[in-house]
Amino acid sequence: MQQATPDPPLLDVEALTVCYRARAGLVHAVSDVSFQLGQGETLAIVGESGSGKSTTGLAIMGLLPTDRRTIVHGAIRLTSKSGSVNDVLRLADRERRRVRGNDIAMIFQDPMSSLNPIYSIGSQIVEAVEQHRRVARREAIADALRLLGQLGVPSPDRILASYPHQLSGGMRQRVMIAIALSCRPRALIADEPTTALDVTIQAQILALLKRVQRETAMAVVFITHNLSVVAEVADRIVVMYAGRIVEAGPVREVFKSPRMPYTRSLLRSLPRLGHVPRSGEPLEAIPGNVPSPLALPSGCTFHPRCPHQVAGVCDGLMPGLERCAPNRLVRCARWREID
Amino acid sequence: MMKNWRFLAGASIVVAVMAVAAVAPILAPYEPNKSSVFMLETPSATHWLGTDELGRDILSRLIYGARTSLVIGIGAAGVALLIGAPIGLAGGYFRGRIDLLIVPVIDLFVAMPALILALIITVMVGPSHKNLILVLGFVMWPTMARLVRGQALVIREATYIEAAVAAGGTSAWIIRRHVWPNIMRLVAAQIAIAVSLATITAASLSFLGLGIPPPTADWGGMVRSGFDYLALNPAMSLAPGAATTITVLGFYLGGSAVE
Repeated sequence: MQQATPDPPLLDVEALTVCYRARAGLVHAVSDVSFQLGQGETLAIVGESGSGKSTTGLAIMGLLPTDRRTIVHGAIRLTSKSGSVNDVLRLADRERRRVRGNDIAMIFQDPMSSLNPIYSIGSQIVEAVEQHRRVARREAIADALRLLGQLGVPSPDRILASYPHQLSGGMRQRVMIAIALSCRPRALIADEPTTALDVTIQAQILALLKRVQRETAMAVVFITHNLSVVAEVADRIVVMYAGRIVEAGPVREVFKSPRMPYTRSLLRSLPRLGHVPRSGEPLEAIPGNVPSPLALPSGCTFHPRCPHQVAGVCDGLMPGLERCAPNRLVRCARWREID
Repeated sequence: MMKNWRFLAGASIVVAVMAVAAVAPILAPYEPNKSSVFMLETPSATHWLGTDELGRDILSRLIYGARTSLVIGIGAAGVALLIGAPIGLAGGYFRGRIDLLIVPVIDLFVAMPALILALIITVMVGPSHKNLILVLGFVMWPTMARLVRGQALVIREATYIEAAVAAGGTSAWIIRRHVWPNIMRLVAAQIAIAVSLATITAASLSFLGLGIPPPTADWGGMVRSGFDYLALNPAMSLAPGAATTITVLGFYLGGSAVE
């Protein structure tokens, strides 16, 4: 039955849970993660290594292993170009392939190894175009040239004829972005796309992504552990810790007044420009380590490292994700008390 | 690149043997299968390497033997590739149950001595050109499959494979376009080694009387027939023996130069 609702979000992740059966027990990589993403929006998923942010990205692409050891629950609804809404997790292989690259594309962390060393850049872009669109080779090449031009690549024709090892990291990442954009996807998953690059190149790539996004109204999921990158690119932020969302909201608000102690610590552990440290003043760090997913602490998974933890409150039950402001969520038993 | 000389030496030998095989009719002074009344002659100006027990010119048979040797060797390596590569690719790329099935089969074959296995099968199917190629190919496919599987296992983990999956490629397409071409270099080397192995195994089978049926000139058979007349004319055995050794060495050097 058709309902007169506003447009569904482009990407709707609902209660996503990913577990791996390991020899030592069940490993919860991602637990009950939900978020929505509208057209032209950028969502940053932030967390330490092992927080489940990359697994979330892979799940959206349908790239998780399909063996019996991997258990995936929840739904990932994607509105395709044709307007139909599909649950990526329940698509048949054939349909899933049609979605990949076409409706939703991905760029990876390491531009060094995400290009096949034995093919020229041109043939790799052309191949991506031909994967989903029926075009003549010449047209595909023209498309590739235009794309590279758009991405600010000097003399694109020369780049097309080069091989991956002849290009710099920044150039390769541009090529990867060109490949990802070649079928004009509606959403892009960027898994630490600038981590392997120099800071100056990082800034260029980020600016580039932002521009492309503005021009195409593409939605972007930006997976990163780099908070300064988040401030630069994202509209909304989702902070993950040990496989769960611990805080979510508009970037500005979260950065200005973080509610969850973990987010606070994260933000405080950033070196600030303009803040001159007294000599010997250490940079603040979060004590302890991310818990092993095999032995998660009881209650709030962050409480062993939390400066605000109270025995009997934080180590009892896992706090739920609460709405602390109109569009903000926080998972902390004591968020009302601490300030 | 320290192995460059090995590749060059191997390639030169292979090219030379191929050239001899290609122009055999021009090079050979006599018809290889034409017998004469001059039997078991020792080397002379008219018959450089002498004649065999049927009065056939040994040099001519040696030259034509290159053809037989190459056809068998390359043919067998081709059969091994045709069987081994798809199986290795399937096991290495998909892993899981297919691989669990493939690995023990490969191990089983690899554990058995190729010559003995080839001997038994040849006894069962009977010696002929075609059978020899098929049998040798069948005996050698597991080595090929093992190499391809190992490489496929490595390549499938590369980010560009993940990227290809993320771009919506089918498994068959990804294997054909991204996995196989990255393995091909090593496979080419393995083919050369397989040719050398097939050549020597074929010669051994011929020597045991289970190889190429007469009257086709083939080196293994020539070594065998010359064996009875070693005291009279050593070249009768030694020349085809040396030819086999050099050819095998050529392919092996060329193949093993590629790591």
